[in-house]
Amino acid sequence: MSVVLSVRDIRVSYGPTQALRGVTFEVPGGAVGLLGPNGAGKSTLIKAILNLVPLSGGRITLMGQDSGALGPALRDRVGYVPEREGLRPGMSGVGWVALLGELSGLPRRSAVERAHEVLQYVGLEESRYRNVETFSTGMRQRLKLAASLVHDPVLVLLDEPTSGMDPVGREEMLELCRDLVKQGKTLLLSTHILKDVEALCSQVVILHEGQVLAGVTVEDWTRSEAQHFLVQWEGQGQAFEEACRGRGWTVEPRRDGLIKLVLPVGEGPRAVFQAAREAGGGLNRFVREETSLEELFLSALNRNGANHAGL
Amino acid sequence: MPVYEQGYEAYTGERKPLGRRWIPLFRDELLPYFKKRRFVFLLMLALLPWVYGIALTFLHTQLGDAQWAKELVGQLPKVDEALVAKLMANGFDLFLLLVVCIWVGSGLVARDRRDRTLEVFLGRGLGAGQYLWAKGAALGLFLLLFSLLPTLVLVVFQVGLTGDAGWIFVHSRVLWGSLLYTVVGLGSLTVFVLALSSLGRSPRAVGLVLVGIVFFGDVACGILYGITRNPAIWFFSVAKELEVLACRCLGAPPPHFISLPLWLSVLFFAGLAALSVVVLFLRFARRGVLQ
Repeated sequence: MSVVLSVRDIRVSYGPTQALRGVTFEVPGGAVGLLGPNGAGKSTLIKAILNLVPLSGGRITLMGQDSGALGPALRDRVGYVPEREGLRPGMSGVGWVALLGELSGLPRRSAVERAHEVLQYVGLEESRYRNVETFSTGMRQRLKLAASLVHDPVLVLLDEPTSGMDPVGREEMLELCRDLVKQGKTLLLSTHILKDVEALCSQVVILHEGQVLAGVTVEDWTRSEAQHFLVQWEGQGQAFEEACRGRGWTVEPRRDGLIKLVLPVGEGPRAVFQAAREAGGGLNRFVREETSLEELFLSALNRNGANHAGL
Repeated sequence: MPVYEQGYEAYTGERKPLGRRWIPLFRDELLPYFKKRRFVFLLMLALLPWVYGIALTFLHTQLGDAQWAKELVGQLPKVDEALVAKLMANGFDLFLLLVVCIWVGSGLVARDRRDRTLEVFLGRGLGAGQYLWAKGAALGLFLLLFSLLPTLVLVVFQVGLTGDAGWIFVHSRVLWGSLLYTVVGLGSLTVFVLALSSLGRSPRAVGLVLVGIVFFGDVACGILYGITRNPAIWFFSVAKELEVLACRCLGAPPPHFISLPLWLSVLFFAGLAALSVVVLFLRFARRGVLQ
């Protein structure tokens, strides 16, 4: 698969503060989540891709073309959904989207037609003639998505698109994003809502203090991390728990008689059954607990805090 | 049921070349003002002196030879460089020009910074140069309504009513003097307002600073002049500099108490423009305007 976006060793400084310190990753296509705590550099990275902040070093290429060299021409192929505001009070929804379409090179008539199309697509056809300041938070986010799609970009950069939205609006927004991925669009989703990434993205890039902590597919990441199991031992006494502890696993007995086991990377169900056999019994119940992205994210951050070797 | 009922469709139509992207932004900046009644009234008010100028043209060309009106018309001022200078740089029109300048100019960039639409615009296929050109052109066009455009209308009336284009050659300074005043004076003022607007996030705050510089600066110069009686004090007054520039460009004598030489006025506006360009360059090239 050809790479849509390639970011190579980019550095951005605000005065003495280094906001991005040698960030490198590639976006092959689909939806990619950009995760990180507040101040990690997510918004700065998006602005760097859009050439809205000057780079101190590094290179960004979009579909193989250098973004710095092509400048505005290349930005015609990128859509941007800013986190805050980004709308002109006093303008109608359709007027705003059409204006941005024109700024991306669409002739006036086509821009207006296209604005109606994308507003219908995001579900704002009923409100398109209302002034943008009368829109609710969810409607504003959808309007910004429509504005980012009006010129039919290849890559859409979404900065906290579900921020401040109610659960229904959030789900609708994610559904739109999923549909866009199906249509062949590439999305780079910056968020701190891990469930959004879990629901939408096939790949994640974790930023922390301006550096990439991890850049992997969600599947690989889940596989590479510690595994959690819930088991019920058929035998009596502490023999099984001691056997597990002896292997260096984390053991958490629960009130309902189940035992939670946390196994390090590389060990799997076979080892659990072997431990039970060694303890002189079998297992009545064995359930693999799904590790949430949140747990993985926190574990990655904690590990980075303990030693800066990264993932 | 998904929120969208119509699937996403790709756009396959034409795209305009990059060089013309500023036009929609220029239109977007300009048109809303024509929907504001107070603003339109202000513009109409500013054109009143020019209506007087056109009336003079009519009287001189149509009734100048009539026996019964000859004496009366002869007492009226003639349409020449001195009259155009008075029409262009009278206190009333200069006041309205500066009011329009502040009204339109204070929000040019500051409003986009406040609403965070600047990053949306610059994130499109619109370079910073085109963005600034669109904003400056919108303000510049309004300022043209106070200078070159009514002058041209006056010239058209003069030539049209007499049926003789020779007037243009005799009074050629009306045209090139107005052009010089527009380019040097109003061009510098436009760039200055644009630069000042890029420094703030609140159009109101930028407007207040502009009021301070333009009107309170003028008052302060007046007080200092009253104390010192030194005409050089007016060097720091934007309104008086414009008045002197208009008079000098059109070869008319400026009011005696502000008789600054032309080169000093040109220096003032050139310095203002240069400073503003540097500010704009630093703000936009280093992207500080997006912070």
